[in-house]
Amino acid sequence: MTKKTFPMDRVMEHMMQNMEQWQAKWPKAEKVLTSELETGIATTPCDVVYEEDRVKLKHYRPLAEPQYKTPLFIVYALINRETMLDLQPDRSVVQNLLQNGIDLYMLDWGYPSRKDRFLTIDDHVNGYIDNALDVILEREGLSRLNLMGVCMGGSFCSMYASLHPHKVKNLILTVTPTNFDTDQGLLHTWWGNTNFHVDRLVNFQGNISGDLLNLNFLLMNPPRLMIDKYMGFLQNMDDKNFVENFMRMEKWIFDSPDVPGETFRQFIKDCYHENRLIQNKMELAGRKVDLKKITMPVLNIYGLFDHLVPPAACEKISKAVGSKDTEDVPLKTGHIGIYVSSKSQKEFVPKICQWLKDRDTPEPKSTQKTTRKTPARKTAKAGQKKTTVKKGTEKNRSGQTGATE
Amino acid sequence: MDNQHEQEQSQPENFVSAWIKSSFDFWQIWAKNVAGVPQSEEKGSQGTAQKSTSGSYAAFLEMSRSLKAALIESGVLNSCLTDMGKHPEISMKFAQLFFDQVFKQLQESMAGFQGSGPFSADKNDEDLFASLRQTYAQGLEKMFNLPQLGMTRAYQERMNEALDRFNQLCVAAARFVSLLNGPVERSWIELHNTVARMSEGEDGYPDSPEEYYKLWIKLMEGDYMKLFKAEEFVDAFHQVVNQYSDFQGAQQKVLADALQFLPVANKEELDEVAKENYFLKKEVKKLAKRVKELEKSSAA
Repeated sequence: MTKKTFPMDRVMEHMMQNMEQWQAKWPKAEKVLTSELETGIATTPCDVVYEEDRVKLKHYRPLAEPQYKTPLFIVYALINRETMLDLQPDRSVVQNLLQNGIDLYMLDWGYPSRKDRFLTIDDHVNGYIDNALDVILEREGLSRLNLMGVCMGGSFCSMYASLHPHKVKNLILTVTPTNFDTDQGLLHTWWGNTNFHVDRLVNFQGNISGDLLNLNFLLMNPPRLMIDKYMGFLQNMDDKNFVENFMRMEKWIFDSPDVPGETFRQFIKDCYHENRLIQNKMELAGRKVDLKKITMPVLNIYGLFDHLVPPAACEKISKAVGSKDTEDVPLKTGHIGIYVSSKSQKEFVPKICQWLKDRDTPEPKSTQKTTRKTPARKTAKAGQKKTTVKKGTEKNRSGQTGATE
Repeated sequence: MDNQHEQEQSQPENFVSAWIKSSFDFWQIWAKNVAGVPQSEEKGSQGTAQKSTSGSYAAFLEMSRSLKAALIESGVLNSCLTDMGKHPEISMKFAQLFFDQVFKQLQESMAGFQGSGPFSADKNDEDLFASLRQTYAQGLEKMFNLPQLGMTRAYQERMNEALDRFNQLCVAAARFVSLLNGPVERSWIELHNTVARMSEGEDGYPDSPEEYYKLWIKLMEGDYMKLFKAEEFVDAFHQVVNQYSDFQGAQQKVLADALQFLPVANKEELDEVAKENYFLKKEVKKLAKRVKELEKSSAA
């Protein structure tokens, strides 16, 4: 076989062509970058119906006629923000759920400050989540709700459903880690090792800095997340739509609240180091979290290519719970792609809607009176005048308003 | 004989003794002159003042004589100066240890380069950091942990601890960054080898530079994935996080020392307030919930 010679001339020719293309692109890119970009995230109209410390309960205005008898309450993780579920209008889990006629509530954890460093998992699960859920039940005059957890929020929801099964009608877990005894994901390799001295970190840091966590996540794939991603941006920066979406994602990724120190310590020690949750050994304020007490239907959705919460961390919960109505839905996507990729949008929300529809039996009304003042039976357009949280009032990390809108 | 005399003179204790003796002699003569001023020239209150001044000088002279006797004649000064010479010896010992290790490392590296020893860039890097750690532990770390004395002992100890922690963090961070840099270097070599193999393949070389870029990213990604699961990297990761935590703790102590002179609360004090606030709030919330439940049940 004859050896081929390196086609230096052709490669150089391509390079020159690329340079010319870039030169041609640049004026347009300059125009795009200096124009007014629509990069607002979490723009779906909502009302804050309850506030406790830094935590807010958001109620979204319906975008279609209600199709379900029971509202859905979403609990996001403490790492990064819930705005990921409403990142851009055409790829918004929130909007898709609303368009399917679901009455939607979501918890916004806010930005923990120094005073929050002593908050434990118990304070989040039996405090904030329970209080917010009680508010919804009271507003709707119901005795049970549909509960959906995202990532660490899903772990919190499984703990909640175990401790308060009478308040949860259906439980949906999405990319939720419950089994931490695996070496599939890098987080499990790095954080699951007892040489990772979380005590030292929390004692001296207090809250765990969002930037430190972000650095950790960037380290998981430096070539893609630190080089290739920005090369992609350079190649497409003359495309306004691409730039806007890129900026939205960039805003979300680096909008990382700190994690309360004691919560992080407990999560690492009880879950990553000792894998207590799946073994029914976890305790919150002295109360044992027994997954067998989760007797309501459980839908477990996870990504097959998830490098943060690998399938092995998600799969076991279905067999560990006491419910006989469980379903695992592995999707061919990653940790974030499950919520934002256009392919997943076609599978993820429809699956949740259908699954809830199949279990949407009439809910016995609570003996309490409904306290909801404005029934969410009008669409967002009609109710826009009475907005309590308007576009541009979303507070960013430093407490300034309107930065993201 | 002359040499011996010169040597004796060049000894620090002899030099200082001579200097003290000549100083005392000077002040002695000066004090005598002042005390010997004729009394007839003294007038009124000025004369009384002069008397008391000369008395003070005489007392000072007497005290100086005693001090001289105590310092020079009893041999205390000699002993002090001899002991003073010991401190630099300790520093020299630390420096010697440090340079011994550095030279040893250099020799090993050179042996590797010259082919008389096994050479591997990664292994050599790892050896270098291990050696650095060892050198630091044997030399500088001990120096930073020397017991401190006196009123400022605690402050000095905390400052030394912060410096020690910072150095340890630097060593851990250098090892971590070096490991992170590995896949970048290796991916270039691998890219070169892969491109060389393309000459024998059926498809030949791609024309587009983007293809080479994609290949490089893919090779680097694969290498990183291998590295991130390696025990060596996990250990370096833990080391850097742990050292960072320790440094932060030591730094906060030094900062607290500095802040005590300002009307500002330090971290520990603020944490205490936050903790009290947390428990109070928790108790209040619990009580409020209980009151609400009682109200509901009484209304029902």
